[in-house]
Amino acid sequence: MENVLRYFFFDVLLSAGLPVAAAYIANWAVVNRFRIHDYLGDGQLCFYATTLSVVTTSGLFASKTASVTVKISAGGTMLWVVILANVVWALAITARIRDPATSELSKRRITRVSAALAGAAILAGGIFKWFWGG
Amino acid sequence: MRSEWAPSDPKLSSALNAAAGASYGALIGAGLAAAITIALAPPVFVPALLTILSSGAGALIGYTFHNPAGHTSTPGIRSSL
Repeated sequence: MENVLRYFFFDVLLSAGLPVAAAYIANWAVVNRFRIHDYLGDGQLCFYATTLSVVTTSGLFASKTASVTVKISAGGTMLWVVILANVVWALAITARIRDPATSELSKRRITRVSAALAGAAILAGGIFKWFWGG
Repeated sequence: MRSEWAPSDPKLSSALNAAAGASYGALIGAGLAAAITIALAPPVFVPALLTILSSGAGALIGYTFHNPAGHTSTPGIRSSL
């Protein structure tokens, strides 16, 4: 349980929550208008999902305590999230370059989809940390 | 249902809808997997399979329901979930 709490504090709260909190504070102080897609509309959360998945898998594979079943299950799931995050980001940015007039709307959708991916990466990582115990 | 941005290119739009569906499916699957893991402590392949299969189902739903055959709409805005 301790490793899951550590994971949520360092890998989720500090890695993803802190930048958003900093952006919110800066907006509140300067322009007083916070729109989350201004900050996450370029697919930043796709990179976060990729990094979190890769780091979790890397730690898991380095572990001597995790069983082969855990490694295969976690590795397969996290790899799927990595592939999805890269496909979503590449497609969305390509589409935006093609239709620059709709960039504001595309940012909203990219923010929603990448947030879903980041959420999936966070939850899957937490589950496998639970099983792994390392 | 509400209007949502979609690429004007139909192939790109289909691919993006499928990928978006897969992403939402992965989130739902991971949420279910987390709940099942906490409640039942199943073998490790259960949450893995649940997440991946939900994602696949999401991709299928996204592709099917966002792109009905013969559907045309204004480029840039498309009916979506």
